[in-house]
Amino acid sequence: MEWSHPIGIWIGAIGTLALFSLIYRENWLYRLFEHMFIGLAAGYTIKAAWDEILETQWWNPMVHDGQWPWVFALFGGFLFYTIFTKRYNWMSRISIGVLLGFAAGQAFQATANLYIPQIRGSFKPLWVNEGMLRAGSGLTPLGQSLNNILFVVIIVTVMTYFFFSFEQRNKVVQGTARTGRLMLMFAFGAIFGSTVMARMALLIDRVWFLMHDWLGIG
Amino acid sequence: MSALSETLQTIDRRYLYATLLIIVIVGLLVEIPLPLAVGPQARGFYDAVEQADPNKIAIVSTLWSASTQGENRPQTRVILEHLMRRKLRFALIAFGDPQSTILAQEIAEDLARAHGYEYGKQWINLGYRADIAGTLKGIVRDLNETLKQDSIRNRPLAQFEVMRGVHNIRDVGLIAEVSASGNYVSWLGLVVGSTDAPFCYAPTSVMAPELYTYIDSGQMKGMLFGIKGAAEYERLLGIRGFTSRAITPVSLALVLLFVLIGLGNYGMYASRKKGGTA
Amino acid sequence: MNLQRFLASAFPAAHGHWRWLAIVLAAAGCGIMFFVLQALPGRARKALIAAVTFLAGLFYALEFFWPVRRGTDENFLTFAVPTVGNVINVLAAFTLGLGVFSLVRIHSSKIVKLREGWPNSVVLLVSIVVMAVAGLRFEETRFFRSLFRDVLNSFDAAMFATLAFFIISAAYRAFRVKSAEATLLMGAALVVMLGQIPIGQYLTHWIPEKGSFASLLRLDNISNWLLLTVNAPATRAIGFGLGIGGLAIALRLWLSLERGAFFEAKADES
Repeated sequence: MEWSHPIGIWIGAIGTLALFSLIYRENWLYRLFEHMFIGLAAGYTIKAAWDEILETQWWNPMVHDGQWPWVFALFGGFLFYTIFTKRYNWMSRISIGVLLGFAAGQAFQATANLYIPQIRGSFKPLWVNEGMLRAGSGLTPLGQSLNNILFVVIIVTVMTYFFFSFEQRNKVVQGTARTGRLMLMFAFGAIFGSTVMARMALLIDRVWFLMHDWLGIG
Repeated sequence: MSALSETLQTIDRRYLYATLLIIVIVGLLVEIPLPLAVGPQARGFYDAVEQADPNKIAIVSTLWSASTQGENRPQTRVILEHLMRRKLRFALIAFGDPQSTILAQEIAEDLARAHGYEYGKQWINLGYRADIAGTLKGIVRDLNETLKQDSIRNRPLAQFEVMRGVHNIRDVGLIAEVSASGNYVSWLGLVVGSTDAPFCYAPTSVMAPELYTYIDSGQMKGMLFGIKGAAEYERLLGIRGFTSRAITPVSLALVLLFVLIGLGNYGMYASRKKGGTA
Repeated sequence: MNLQRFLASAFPAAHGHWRWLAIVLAAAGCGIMFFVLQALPGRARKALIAAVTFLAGLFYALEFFWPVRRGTDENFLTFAVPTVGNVINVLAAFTLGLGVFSLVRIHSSKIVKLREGWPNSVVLLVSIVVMAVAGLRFEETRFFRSLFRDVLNSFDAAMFATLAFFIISAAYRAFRVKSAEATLLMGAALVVMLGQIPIGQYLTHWIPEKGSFASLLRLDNISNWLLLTVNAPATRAIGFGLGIGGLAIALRLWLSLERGAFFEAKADES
């Protein structure tokens, strides 16, 4: 079955242009479609929450498979909504505490698995021979050695920059931290450029929708 | 001269918007045939799919909504295209935004028609899960018990041919995620250590620079750098999809950005030279 | 004692009419629990919240640290991981409704009191109902598919596409190279991005990609080198700091050492 319909495309196109009108000035048309968007998104959230999770993992096991303890999950979920009341809103912290507790408990494994390989990978050989080169890297042993030295130097300098436990008075430490700060600029420059690229891709997708799907151009 | 330098620093934003729009429209209409070098990260992703164990299932996780579909939709498309070309069975799963599951479903249905893939036999949609970490921990131990049923037919997973022999993460041959947020932390932290399956990531361009550290440590076997990564993957697959067309206006827009920044800075230095305020 | 067997015997599945009786009794028990909780004094409330948080975190922490049985990779808690994962999912699914509930509350109030912009609130509430009903009852129809694909997706994408305009304008106005750091940042951005896009790669495409020293001068190779050898260690170092900080925050949350003025005041009220 098709996903698109001409009427839907027209509504989508008019809404897109209305939402784009914000770049000129906020106006009633923008606000109208903004509210429509929020409503549709919220309505979809209801559908997804029930269809994808609650019906299959809570309602069916509880009602059809005899797993009655799932009633307590309803109680836990209900406690979240007490946040809207003045008298009972402290109870929402019980359910929030449960979720936060689970997340905190997972942090030990997650941190270990995430960072131990990173720490291991940071101890790079500063002198590389032919046998240590990765196949297809195209580098010479000297080139790889220089890369590794630079890699380690940058990690050390940047970590020095972020060391705030005591004041950095020593000139060597200060110089190292300043170098780390300069190295960070490379990272931020890359992030800045790629952020612009990401935003442009979003705009290009919408313009293509208007041109190709709506007007049939291109 | 000082009037020019002032103007260069204060171009009306409506002219900027109009210029950007024109550049995008022209870029989409007029394809400039330029070379696109395939980077090692995209190639790593491609090789991981090429070398994936055909006896195991691939998991394609999606964590994006229409707000980032400009980058994530083509990424999802090329990954699924490659999996289907290799006749690998795969399972879709969605986290983060509830929209992901339907967005991925739509792309998979479209490609499945072209490749003769049948739902339930070669592919399946495991649906959306609100909690990432708990679900991943559960999948490592027991996939069927954690996810219970599929999203489309609402039947127990064990009833589907595609899930035959799939019990937990050890039966997964490849993990690929297309994401608009930092979910790689959960996969790397809770799953990757428990399996030999290569983990490949397709983030939006915003997140891509921060992931090179995981490429270096070998935790990620490949990465698609936003829309550019999707275009590189299309080159590797030998197809010319939307991304190959879209990379032209992306390039032109970036050039425009740097030109504008250059003009603004030139105006600033020129007015400083004349003794004006920057 | 096997924990799995114990729990199975303590909470046996109920079938037939017993199923509904068990559900009703459990729901009644929850109702009683609600009033018992409300009757708790302030200190007991804080202690309860801290205990619940700790027990929840203890499950995963214990499951990770407890030694596994010989010949397996499981301990006495591993069997419960999928079920606990499902519990978290269900709780998280209930939280999805919080935003919707809040929206409905605010906009209903706006409509009832006829505050400025109330017609938009009507549109919002109607949109919620239309999408929810279409998604729950008419999911297999072209109406829902088009509503999702052509309307919701278009609006969602358009909202974020406007960022492209704003980023161009903001970058043009704000980006002034006035220091060494700014120069480095801009230079890095320029080189990295030129190396990523075809227009930039075209400038040096005539240089061989690999195999000679000249290939070091290719823009895409320089860009890749900057990303892997300069950007990667910098972000890794930032990541180390984040990791340590994240673990510290997780510990503080698990042990309820975090204090916030709002919750302190609220928990003391009885």
